[in-house]
Amino acid sequence: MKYFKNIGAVLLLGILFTACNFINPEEFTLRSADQVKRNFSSLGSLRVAPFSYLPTGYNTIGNSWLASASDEAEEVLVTESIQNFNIGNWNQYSNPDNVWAKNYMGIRKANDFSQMADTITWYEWKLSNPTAYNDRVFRTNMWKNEMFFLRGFFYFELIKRYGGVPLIKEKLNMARLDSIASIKRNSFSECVEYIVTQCDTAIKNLPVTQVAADYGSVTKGAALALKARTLLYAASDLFNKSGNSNPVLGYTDGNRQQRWIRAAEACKAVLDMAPATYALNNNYSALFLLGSALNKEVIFECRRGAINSFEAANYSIGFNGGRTGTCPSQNLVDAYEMKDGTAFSWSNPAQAADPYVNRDPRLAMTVVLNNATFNGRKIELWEGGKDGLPLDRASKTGYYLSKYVVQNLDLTKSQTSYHQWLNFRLAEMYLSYAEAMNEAYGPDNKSIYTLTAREAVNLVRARTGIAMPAFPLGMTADQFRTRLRNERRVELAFEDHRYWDVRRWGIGSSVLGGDIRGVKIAMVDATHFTYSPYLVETRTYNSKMDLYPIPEDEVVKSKGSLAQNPGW
Amino acid sequence: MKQRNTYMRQLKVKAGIFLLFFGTACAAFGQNAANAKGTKEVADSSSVKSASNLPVNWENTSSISTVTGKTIYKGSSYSPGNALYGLLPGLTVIQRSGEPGLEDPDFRIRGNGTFGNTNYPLVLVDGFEHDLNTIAVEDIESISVLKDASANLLYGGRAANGVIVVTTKRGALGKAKVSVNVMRGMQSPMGSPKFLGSADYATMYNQALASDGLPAVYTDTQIQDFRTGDPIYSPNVDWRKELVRNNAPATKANFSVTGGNNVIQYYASVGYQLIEGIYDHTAMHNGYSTNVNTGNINFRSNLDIKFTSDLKVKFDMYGQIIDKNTPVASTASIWNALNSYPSTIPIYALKDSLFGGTSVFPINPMGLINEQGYRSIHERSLIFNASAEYNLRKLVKGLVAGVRFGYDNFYTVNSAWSKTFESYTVTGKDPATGEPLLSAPFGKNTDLVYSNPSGDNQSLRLNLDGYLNYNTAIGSDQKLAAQLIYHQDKLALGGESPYYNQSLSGVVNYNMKNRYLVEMGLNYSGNEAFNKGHRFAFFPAISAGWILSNESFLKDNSVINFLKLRASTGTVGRSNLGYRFIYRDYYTGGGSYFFGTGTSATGSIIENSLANPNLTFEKSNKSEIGLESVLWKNISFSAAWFYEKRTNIVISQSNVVSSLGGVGLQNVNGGEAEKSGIELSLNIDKAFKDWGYFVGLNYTVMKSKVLYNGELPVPTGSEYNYTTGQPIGQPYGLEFVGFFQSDQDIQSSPKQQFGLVKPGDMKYRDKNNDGTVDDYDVGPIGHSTFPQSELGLVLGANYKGFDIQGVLQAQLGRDIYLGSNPYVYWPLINNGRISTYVDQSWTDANKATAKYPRLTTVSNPNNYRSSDFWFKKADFLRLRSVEIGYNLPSQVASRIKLDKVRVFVRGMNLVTMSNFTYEDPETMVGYPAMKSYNLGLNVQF
Repeated sequence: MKYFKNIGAVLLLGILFTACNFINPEEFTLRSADQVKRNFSSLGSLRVAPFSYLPTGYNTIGNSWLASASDEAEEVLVTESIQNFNIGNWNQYSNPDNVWAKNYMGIRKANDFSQMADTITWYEWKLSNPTAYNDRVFRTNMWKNEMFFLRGFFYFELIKRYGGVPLIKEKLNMARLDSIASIKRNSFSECVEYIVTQCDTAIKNLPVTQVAADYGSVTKGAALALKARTLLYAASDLFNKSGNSNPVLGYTDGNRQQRWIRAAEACKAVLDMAPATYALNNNYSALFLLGSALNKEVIFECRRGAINSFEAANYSIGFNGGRTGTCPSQNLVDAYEMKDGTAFSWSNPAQAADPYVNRDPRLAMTVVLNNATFNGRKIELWEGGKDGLPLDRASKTGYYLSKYVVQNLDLTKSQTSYHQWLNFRLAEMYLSYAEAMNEAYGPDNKSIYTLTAREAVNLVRARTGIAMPAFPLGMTADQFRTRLRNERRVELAFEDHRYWDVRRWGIGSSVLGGDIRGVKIAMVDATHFTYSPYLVETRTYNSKMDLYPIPEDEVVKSKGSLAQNPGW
Repeated sequence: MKQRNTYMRQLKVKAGIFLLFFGTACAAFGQNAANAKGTKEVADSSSVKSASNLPVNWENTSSISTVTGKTIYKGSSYSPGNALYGLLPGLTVIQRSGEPGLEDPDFRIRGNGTFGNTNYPLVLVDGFEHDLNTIAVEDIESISVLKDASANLLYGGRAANGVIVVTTKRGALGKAKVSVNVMRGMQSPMGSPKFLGSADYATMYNQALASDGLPAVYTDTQIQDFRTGDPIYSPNVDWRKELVRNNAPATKANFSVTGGNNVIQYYASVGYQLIEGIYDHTAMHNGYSTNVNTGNINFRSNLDIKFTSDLKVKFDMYGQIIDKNTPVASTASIWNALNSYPSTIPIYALKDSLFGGTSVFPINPMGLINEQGYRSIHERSLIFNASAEYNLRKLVKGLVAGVRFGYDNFYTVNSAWSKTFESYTVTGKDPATGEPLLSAPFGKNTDLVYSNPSGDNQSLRLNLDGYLNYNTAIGSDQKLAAQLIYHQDKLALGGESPYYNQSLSGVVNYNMKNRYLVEMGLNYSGNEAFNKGHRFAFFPAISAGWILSNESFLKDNSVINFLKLRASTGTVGRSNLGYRFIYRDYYTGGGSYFFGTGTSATGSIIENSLANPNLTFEKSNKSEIGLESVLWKNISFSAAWFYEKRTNIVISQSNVVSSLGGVGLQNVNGGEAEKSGIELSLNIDKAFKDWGYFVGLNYTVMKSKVLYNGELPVPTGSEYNYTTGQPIGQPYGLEFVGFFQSDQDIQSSPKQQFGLVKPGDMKYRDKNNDGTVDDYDVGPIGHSTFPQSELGLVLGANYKGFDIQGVLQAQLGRDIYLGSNPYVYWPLINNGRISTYVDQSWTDANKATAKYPRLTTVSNPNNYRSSDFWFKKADFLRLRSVEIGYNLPSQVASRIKLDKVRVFVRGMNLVTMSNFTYEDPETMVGYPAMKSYNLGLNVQF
């Protein structure tokens, strides 16, 4: 027995020893929330965080442009992930444009900043350093207001894809995973109203212009433009299906007219800022090659720094380092009118013989045509030419991309150029205004505003250097709609609009599920070619694809609280 | 508050130091106890023969296997780890590379038990954690593998993957005995894939272009010229043959002295080793070599000093200096280049002076290895262990106290002298001079530039143990032993928070009548990676044994000399989960965005994944039932069945955390896995007057299963996609059903979503019958490269002065994935070559008998992806080592004043039998494993 007592005593003493604080990890400095709050530069870094979740334009899906999933273009490589859209190989399990998680992260970063900034007063600086105090308070407030815009932007990106989504208005407490799992999708109209109120707060407080060091930040005009675009989408066919009874997928009441009027009003608010703050640029092609300069037509841009990845992806294979990438389709090229305002037609032999002469000037500025000069030489898109089939990786459609592509970069020397992607520009606002006004009042009725729908479109067509003939008076609303949609298609080509426009107009199945055409070019002599349009591919599309599927793992994690979109 | 804590800490430290001198059992004791408790299942002749015919350590109730240094030495090549193939049941040794300095193998004890972080066991050298491969083989006294919870009790929170214990030699009473061991050998690489020569390559390349619908590139005259093979104009270079030699020398020497008297006993040794790599043409430059060479020198001194009859002290010192020389290019890039660089580009564009190359392939392997400079890595380690043991019999009879201290310092310096070189394409022949016309150069010729790629690194481990042992007899037929062992260690690496371990174990052993044995123990371990309150955990274990051979009904049995049944169960854990300090919320760097007109973006900070304050040990519940026996005096047989359930494996929470939160959560302990298996071991050892023989056979079967790993759900109908319920490491892929024979075949089959398919491409099964073949048709295929069972066989015999020993090892139930070596098995991938393995690719002509998909020059993600077509069975049996030695007769030896002179020849990896014969089935990629022929001498005097 005494053996056990001895052992027991020593055991006890041993345990005492273990309590000695031997394991004491040295914790290196890691920034806690408190430290961020007190440090102005850390707060500034915290404000940048949600911006990094904004769409950056250019190649949004892998190496390809979103345009290659619409009837604007075809991606040259069969193996790029964007081709999954075109062959119908995407669903709730695998979606190349799955931005659900990314946008909610952006929303949380914006909420994180807002909640932290709400508790900051900078009082300790008030007496010790009044100038620094004023500066800090001013900037903190400006950043807080930016967060309203950013939240609205992220929700807009979500609803245009999915319909109604859960509205997360503040940082979720992640400790209660089961309560998070029971969050349901808000109705579409609730989401739209939320975006509009967020924009309204931002509109009230954001500055109208910015200094050079702040280029890229959010201004009042950006918030107005976001509100306008949101209300335009909210009034569109996709979210106003007749007989719709599911509020998550769109409106269930019949007040469509009201929505068009509201949209027109919101667009007008942006147009009223012209010509003081905004004005149409007098050079269409230069608008997409601004470098780092600020331009009066640009309302909100995403600056990308000095890169050349985009050129490397889209220069013709005939250039050293070029990889062709986006091949504009014959479908898009055919949409450009003749210089006199009439439509182009292949059955007109004169037009078919020389299809690029006397066309809307925007055609040559958007697409690289056969025998055009690009990057210092003529582009040989004919069969056997330096840039044409059957070269491996030459354009499948007979065109290369020109808009947004900076010429004169030597890719082998890794030359770069500053790029900026235009999220909102004034021309879009004119076209949106025209669309809303047409639906609300018709083409020639200006109602209480100063501009009719027709006048708005004609302002865009009358841009210096473009000078396309004006739309005539006396068109019916249907005729106007058709021509306006075509105008929107060519003016905003390759700006990530077409892909969404055809969905919201309800013509997704015929456009995105139709044939994509290209042109085969044969050389007769140095100045004469023959052009034969041909079928490149037939796309696969189903009307359920008008709305994206909610990612399946999110539906499972929500234990069914998130209802999946119909058809998926 | 802070001051009070300091005061309390000081008080506890004083109490602790006081305790230390009473001590609590230390790892050294623990290790001695382990050796004392272990049953040797050994292929060495001297163990089984003992006077009472009982195996040594018959009292042990836990699962330990041991092998002595003598056996290890006979099977060793140049790295101690490589000597353990097939010797210990339950220990799987996996060869990774044959590169000098990097040939240390990977270990698994009883297979894979977890899918988190690593399955590598804890390795202790003389009681403290250290790398096995920096110890000299000649210094090893024995290596033990501790397998079940009871054996691992003392290492509680570090032992979930099992423990390997290495003990070094110590002195013995007697006059000084000097031992000299010298060995020199030649190593040659095993497994060399062959590639088509330029002419055949060009023909096949044209065929591939045709199947892509592209025009041919090589003309008939070009192909004909390749057959004649002008080294500059139409080269046909076999890069492997050119740059890899078939033999590289290696030398090893060791000098040791052991002896002592009643006061001091010593073991001292000095060793030297030099191994050369197999790259060729590496001595082209003055003053340096671009070969892979490793040289090391080590010394050891182990002293046992008896100060008084009650106080024993030990001093151990070990040092090693390693110098490695390697080319600047990485091993992987060198072997990929040797396999993929075209044979149609000459080595030299101008006879022996300017390198050949093209714009796509500017760096040819000759230049890659030999013309880019060299790296020099210098490593130094120093270990110093001191221990004191005091016999407290004057206080309490049977009580012993001790303390051990260990200092382990490792320092490494990595420096490189690098340069670049120019290469040229031969564009034609100058008709006037007959000299080749060269293109503009690719790259630039530069001089050697010094760089320090990873700087200097120092790591220091400080160990401290204290122990208390108590042994007593109760009555005449009962024995009781108890131990209390305290351990702490700190590992300091530059730039990181130090690593701490602390543990306290108590074990009680009870023996009744030498028939019934019980052991109970409890370990309390802690680690710094976790949050306060989760740092420490209890790890209990209990085991029992019943020695049937001491029972009355078996006591005088002539056949069964010893029979023991044992069982154990318990819990051990581990804390090296790959996650430290995840219990704190903090902000970390996020994405960036451009503001203003400048070209540098502004960075941001974002919340890091939200903390998990509850992360704690991964736990392993082990159970075992075993049987050990000695039959007919010379045959020992043992069998064991084991089962382990691993819980608290770290898994991601991405399958439960909704993205609506916008932020991730840190990983949690939630995964579970289990494994089970059987070990069998048989040893026969017979000695006669002039001759003798021994056989040691061991066989292990291992099975594992993932029980829960938090994976994301898959659509209904594709449940085979789940990794849960499958073995750990199970490979996944598509099921191959044949080649597409025609366009109609493609139209009428389910649509494959991996890219454009043409006739000749691979067709896969649509397992979920949804009309498409995509990632949801991927299911488990084949086996991983980790074997399902392993067999080891040691055979030896001696006759008069001759002796022979061989070790065979077989790994069964494993597959290899050809896609892990794409340049050999996936022809033309990334502009590579075509190996001779590629036979009968599909063409329209041979569509009925095709064995390989059609050749293609563009990327083909449809064919070159994981499917059962690319998994091949790769069971193998290897003769790991065979040694024939001859002892000079003692009269001859004594004439030259030597006690023993033995010459031997030893071969390593001489014979391999496998159902995959194209390459070495064990190390398919990178620097090949080596076979070697060695000649050596053992002298003792």
